[in-house]
Amino acid sequence: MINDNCASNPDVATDQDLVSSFLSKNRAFLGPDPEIQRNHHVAPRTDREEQVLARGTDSNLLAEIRSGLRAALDETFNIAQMTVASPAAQCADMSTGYFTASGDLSLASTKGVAGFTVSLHYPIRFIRKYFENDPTVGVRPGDAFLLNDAHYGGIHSPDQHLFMPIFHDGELVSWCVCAMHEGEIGARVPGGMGPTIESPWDEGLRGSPMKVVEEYALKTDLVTFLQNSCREPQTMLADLKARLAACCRLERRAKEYIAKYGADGVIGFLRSNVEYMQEEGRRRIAELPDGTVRTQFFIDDTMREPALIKIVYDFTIKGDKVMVDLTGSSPELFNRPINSLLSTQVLGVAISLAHQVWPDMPCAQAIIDCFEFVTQPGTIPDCTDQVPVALCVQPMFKIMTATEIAFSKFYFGSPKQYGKIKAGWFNQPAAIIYGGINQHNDSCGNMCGDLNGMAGGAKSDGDGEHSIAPCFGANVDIGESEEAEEKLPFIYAISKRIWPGNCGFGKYRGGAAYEYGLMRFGEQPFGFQTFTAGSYFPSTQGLFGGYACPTYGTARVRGKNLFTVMKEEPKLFEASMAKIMNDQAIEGAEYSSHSMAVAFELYPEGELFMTSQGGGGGYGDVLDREPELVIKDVEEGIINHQTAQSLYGVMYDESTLAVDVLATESQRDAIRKGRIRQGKTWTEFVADHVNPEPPEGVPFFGSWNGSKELYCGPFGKALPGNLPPIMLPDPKDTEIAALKAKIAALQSAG
Amino acid sequence: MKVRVTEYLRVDLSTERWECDRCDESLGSARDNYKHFLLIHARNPREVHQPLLDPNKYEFCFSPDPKVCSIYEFYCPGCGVMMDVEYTIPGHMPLHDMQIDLDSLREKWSGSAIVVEQ
Repeated sequence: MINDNCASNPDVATDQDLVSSFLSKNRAFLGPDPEIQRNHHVAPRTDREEQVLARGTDSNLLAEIRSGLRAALDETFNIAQMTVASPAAQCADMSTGYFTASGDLSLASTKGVAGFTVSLHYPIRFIRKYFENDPTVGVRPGDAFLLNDAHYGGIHSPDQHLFMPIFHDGELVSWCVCAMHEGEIGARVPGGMGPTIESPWDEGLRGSPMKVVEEYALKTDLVTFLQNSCREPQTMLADLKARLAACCRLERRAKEYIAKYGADGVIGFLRSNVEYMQEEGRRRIAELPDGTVRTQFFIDDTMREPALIKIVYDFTIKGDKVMVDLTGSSPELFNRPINSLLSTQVLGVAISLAHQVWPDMPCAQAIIDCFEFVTQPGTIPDCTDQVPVALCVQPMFKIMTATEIAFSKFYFGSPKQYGKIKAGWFNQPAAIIYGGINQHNDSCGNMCGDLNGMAGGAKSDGDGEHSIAPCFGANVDIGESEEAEEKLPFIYAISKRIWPGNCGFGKYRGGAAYEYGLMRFGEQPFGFQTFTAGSYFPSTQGLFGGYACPTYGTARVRGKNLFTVMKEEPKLFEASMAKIMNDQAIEGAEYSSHSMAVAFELYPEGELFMTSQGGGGGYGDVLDREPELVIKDVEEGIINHQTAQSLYGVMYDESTLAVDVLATESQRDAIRKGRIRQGKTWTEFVADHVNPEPPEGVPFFGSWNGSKELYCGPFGKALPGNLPPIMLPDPKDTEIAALKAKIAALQSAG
Repeated sequence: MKVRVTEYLRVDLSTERWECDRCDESLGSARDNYKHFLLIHARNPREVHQPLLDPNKYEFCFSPDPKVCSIYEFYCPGCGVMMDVEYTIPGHMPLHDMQIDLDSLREKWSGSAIVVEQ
């Protein structure tokens, strides 16, 4: 509470009463509450829930209520998806959900990204703790609160969520939410995410839970403020209305069920569903053998410069508990956006478990109630509130892959499995973010739906799917190119083209993914940026001998209007990144390639910006892949002849693609013998290849070969708790300094 | 009882030894890191991932950079099957990725209907 609510006029109160009142009721700043934000566990039963559940539950009745409320969630999801303006939400990057009165997620929509609702117990608990009894805020029927600041819950600030309390006869029975990726929030760069976000204050609007709706109506003054705080005021209003309409429908449906089954029935269902998930998660963990699976990842870019940023995830199962140990991970980067709050990491585990490991389980934080997390505060996966987190999806997607890999290893040797054993899904936000003025003269800044075109990892019994869905949501879409072209000043000059080698190879290969290229159309100021790692070091991982995905970059053709080229010499333009870039057939054009983390730049008409979505990891030894499947991959352009022959060891006629079975067996035997010949024993290998220090050249962050001290790139190394603030220089300043040194050297040489 | 714990690795719970599931090679004590008993090769990632863009023209060619990435391949010394692959930084220690509690594994499989036996 900000105000001093002394019962009587403070001017006549005693000094002691004033001091006591002041200390108990006043806080200068209602910042994020660690007691809430660092606790992902299910809340204890309330007295009301205890009273209801003590009378026993009727499982048939609960199933009826579950079916009805789930139908309401899917109904509102569909309505909202058809009415929102955010391009990501139109592609189903959204979710609806019902919570207990304490804020535990009980049920989420079957479609979309359930992960949005999984992390929203935090803001509900915050509202209940700090606002419910504050007479200047309060929680009343017809209210709704907006949230977009990850420090209070959710994933990152481009996501916006609207909550509504559900009352019955004055009693708070439940909460509902419509959550989605909004995109534009007035950050330093369009779309709320970008490499050049260097402080929390570059992240744009940071909305702690804020009551923007009273009496079921949006408050005009706050809506005007929100619209003025971003580049897409129309989208902001449209989506606030869509979310409010969804919450109103969810409240109406909940009240219909309360009328039918009584408040006790609905309260009992909401709580018992949470407890079911809590207990079922624990039971499934208890089924697994005890042990530890260790994973490590290297993020290869701070988003402004190359770096090797180590993130460690060790999963230990003991009985019905899981310990996730993140110690040894990189220190946080003070002025780079790839830090993550602990709550974001916790969320990543829940999403991955629900989508990949236990696909029959609902997605809710209750399923990981038996998990504990060990971290070193001040590191990338558990950063402080002082550093930017706009691109927290970098480490968040890593813990999702870590969960997939770790549980595939736990489950392979286990008597019972609930989902497929799988290699890593692709795990980078490989989308182009755009911003500027569109052909309708509207200001805009948002993200292409291609974000959702990630490929799936290979399975223990089959190949991964091509560009099927993002790692964070199974039931979403990539959108239609034509719809984007109607609204935005570019065309998809290259659209969804598979290129050879874009998957993890193996006995079963990962899904392949597509390249795409946006060509600017029109003379408005408009530009692009990307914020993806994995340009030097592959991002996702294979499994049991399967290879990882390749690396990715961006490619540009600038300095020439390619629309003119297309019109005058159409043969010079082929919708293929490799053809365009390697042939360099267009005279006068500038060709360049870059990493996948490029800062926002304006592009004039006819310039082309290209990139690619990522492939899934491979499964098993490449030499175990059926030759017919290898040939099918060649025919479909998923691999080239060199990969088929030298890596897969398949011998065939390149013109007819007829396999020579004997030659293939012979070639594969030769490769296996070659492996035995060149492979070293552990002792030899460690002596020859393992170094006491990380390689020079690219700054390394994190523990090196078990060191207790964490390497801090150019800032030396230090023990956790004593880490230096890592403030990296602006790459442009570094470049200017190098150029100045070069000039000075030339001048002194005469 | 023998239990497969990866596509190519199994453990004999009676002798507590790692074995290759492809060639039956007895690798070593299952109380130790199984990678200690495999052959290891540090492979240049460009041999596996062919560049999409011409590396003579472009630094970013859609293939891993060998300066920061090495592929550790782990082979069975008996038959040469590739049991595991690890993408890592050159000079990094191979990861001890799996440490299953044998007593717990035995307990989980005892009495189970789905026993994998050779």
